[in-house]
Amino acid sequence: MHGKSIHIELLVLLLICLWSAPVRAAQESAVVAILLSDSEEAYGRPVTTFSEEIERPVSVFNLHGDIMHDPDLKEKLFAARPALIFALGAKAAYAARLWTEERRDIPVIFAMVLNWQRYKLTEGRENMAGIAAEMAPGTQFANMIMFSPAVRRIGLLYSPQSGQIFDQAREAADLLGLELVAESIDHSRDLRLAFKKISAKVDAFWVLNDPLIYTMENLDWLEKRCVRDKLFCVGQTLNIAKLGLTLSVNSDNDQLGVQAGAMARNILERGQTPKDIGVMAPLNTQIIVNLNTAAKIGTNISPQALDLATSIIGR
Amino acid sequence: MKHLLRNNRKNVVALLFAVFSWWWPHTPGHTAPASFFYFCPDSPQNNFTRLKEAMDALLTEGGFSYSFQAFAHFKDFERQVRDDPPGFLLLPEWYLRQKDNAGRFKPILVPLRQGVSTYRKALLVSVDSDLTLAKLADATIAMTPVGQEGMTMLNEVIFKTHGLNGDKLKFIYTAKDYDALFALALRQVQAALVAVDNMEYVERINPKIVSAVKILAVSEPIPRPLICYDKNAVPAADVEKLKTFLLAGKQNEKTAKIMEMLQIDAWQVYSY
Repeated sequence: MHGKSIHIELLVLLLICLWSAPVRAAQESAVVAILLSDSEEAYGRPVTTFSEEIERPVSVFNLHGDIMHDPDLKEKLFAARPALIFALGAKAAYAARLWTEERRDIPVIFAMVLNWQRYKLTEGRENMAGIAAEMAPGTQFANMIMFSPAVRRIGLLYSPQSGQIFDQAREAADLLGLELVAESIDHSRDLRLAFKKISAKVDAFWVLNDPLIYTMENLDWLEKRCVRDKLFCVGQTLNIAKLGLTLSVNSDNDQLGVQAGAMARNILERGQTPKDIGVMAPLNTQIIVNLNTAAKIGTNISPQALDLATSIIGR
Repeated sequence: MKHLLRNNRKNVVALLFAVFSWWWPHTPGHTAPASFFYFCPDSPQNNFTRLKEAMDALLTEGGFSYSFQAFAHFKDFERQVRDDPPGFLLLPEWYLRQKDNAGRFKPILVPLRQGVSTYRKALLVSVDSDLTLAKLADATIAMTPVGQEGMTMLNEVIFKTHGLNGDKLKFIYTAKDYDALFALALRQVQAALVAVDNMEYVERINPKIVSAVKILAVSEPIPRPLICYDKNAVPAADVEKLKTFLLAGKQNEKTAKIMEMLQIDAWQVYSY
């Protein structure tokens, strides 16, 4: 009887140990590993801001563009006994997923991965959380209606490659009481015809970062066409307003590290799990308004709205 | 010989440089910091290029040699204050409570809006959310960053009253209040802590965003950001000059522009 009781106690102890494995890994080590895909300059600020936010020692590891560049890198990273891995770029995110296959007690936060869904980073993996590289369609639409409150119907061209974003866009438009008028294209050359088809039915147009849509030739044409059709055209890269479209809403990469750092602290210090967090949209925006184009299309942007913009082109 | 002479010349230049480097910062007029730092994440103003233009023009008109620098990110601001100390600052009141900041920076002016020197923050959730204050500990909350002392202040003015401890809540920091508000309206987070003034500001532009959220709780009054100066570095004459200059308020076109940009109605002498 006594022996049976000891066995039960041992079993309970074992269960507690197994259940608390992710918490234990986080508490055992104070170090956070930062894994970079390569030496891209773009990672510099997120690494700095993440390191400042996390307020723990960090060790930086670099794949140098190839997971096989240093065959010992995985070993070196685990030798640091990281409490969490912050992976920047697609290769680093993929490597972090692969390397933690047997170490799912180590949480991973990834960022700066274009089209993260393509890599199935979170599929069947509860230790993976992240920040999408693309601004959420809702953030684009919310800013559109701040700078042009009259917008009710938004035009969108998409390709099979951006089908998932189209679904998110539909949902966000519903949430904000907007109508989405969308048209799918299979070739980049189809853009002009598709645009002309929807142009008369919309007040604004959202340019997707889709390889079939976002080409220099298409952007050049869209800039002229948006002015001709007096459409409030919006995109999600820094360049888009400089190229002559009215509004650019893009992610503030300086703040990306702060967001990831806060997510990491919520996991390491406040018991949130990567699964609870999932993949967040980048929450911080940089907004550029092209007032010259706004004047050409007859949109009068209020001074109050202009104060929300990070920068303004023209007067 | 030539080689020796060249080396000697190098040594003399090095010696002169060393003496000059030692002497230069000790010369009166060269030690005073040349910057006016701004860090106000709860302000409605995000266009720092426009703000810097207006503020530099104002300072030049007043005969000041300070250059205005605005910070969007808290850690950048903290780092710069440490590495390249400014003469004047416009900063959140809680920053003064941090470490030995109160011993170093002295507040001189407080902005007023609608006659008061305080504002309130609102704890928001989505309009159709069933999240209650009791369940807030499990939610992700977006808000602008605060240091440890800022969190102590938030505990006092809002969290403690509702049985919450800010140190245990799951925050995600945004550089601007609007980003926190938009993130909530778009269901990217479960809650947000945002200045009521900023909610009203957004509502005036387009009520759609604000109609997507509802208020769970409102804080006690929070002091508005203060204009301070570095006690050990700024000459008293500069302090008095800036005070007089800003207290003139809307009588000066350039001051009026800044006040309009920062949503300030008047300045008041700090006297607490």
